[in-house]
Amino acid sequence: MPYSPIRGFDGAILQGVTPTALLGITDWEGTITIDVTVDGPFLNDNGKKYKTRGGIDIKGKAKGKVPSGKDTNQTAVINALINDTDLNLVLRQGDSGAPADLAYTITIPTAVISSAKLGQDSKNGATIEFDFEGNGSFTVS
Amino acid sequence: MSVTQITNATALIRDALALALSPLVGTYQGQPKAFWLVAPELVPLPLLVYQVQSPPQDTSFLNGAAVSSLFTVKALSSDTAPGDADTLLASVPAAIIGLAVSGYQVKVTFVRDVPPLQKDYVYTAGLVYQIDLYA
Repeated sequence: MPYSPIRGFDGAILQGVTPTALLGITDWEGTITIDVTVDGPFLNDNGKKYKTRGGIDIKGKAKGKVPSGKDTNQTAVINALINDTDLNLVLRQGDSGAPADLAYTITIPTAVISSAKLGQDSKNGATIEFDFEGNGSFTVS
Repeated sequence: MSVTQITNATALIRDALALALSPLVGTYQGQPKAFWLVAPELVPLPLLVYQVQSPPQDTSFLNGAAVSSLFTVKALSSDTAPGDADTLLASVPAAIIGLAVSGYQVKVTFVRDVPPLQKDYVYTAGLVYQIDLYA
């Protein structure tokens, strides 16, 4: 299948039981890692190392601008941090309105919002950044 | 949901500026003396001309279409009465800050003055604005 690019703005980060897209987001990223336990090298084993896969985890962040009057879904992310509550987060690559343009979608049903940064810049306006982590299961589809 | 890029921003902003600026000037032959791009010859001064300085550029967010552009509003008067152009131009900021485009959020930001020009018996002064549309 030949390569077909996805337009930069055809993606989203959504939150909530009925996932709703946050406004003003410029980018998101999620990093999936596993714990790797290393054994060895052992005597008389030619210096080999052996690795065992452990727990799997996901961490990520998103950045964007805060619109005038705030955005309900950005507020939900901040409230999840402040109120110690889990949040359903969906990170989507591509255009959900055009399935052929859809790429990977990460769904984190019980994400932990681990930090949020709000700012105001005289040139760029009001900004938001937040970090999130998985808490239990997540899917990549 | 597909993002539908804003491809007609110049026309949308042009029409919004026409509505906003027309009340600031009188009329000539039944038409407001606020003109898109260039004023016709023989229209009595003072008058307003509005132009696109930098065409709309896509500045979309994830899942949200947006464009950003620069527009210039110029006031022209006789070079023997530059104050007429200055006075007319001074009424522009209040009129343009509330610019409205149906179906879009609009943000208007003053950028800079256009240095005054005096040529061919006409005095020109202007203002440059950044006008952003958000779907």
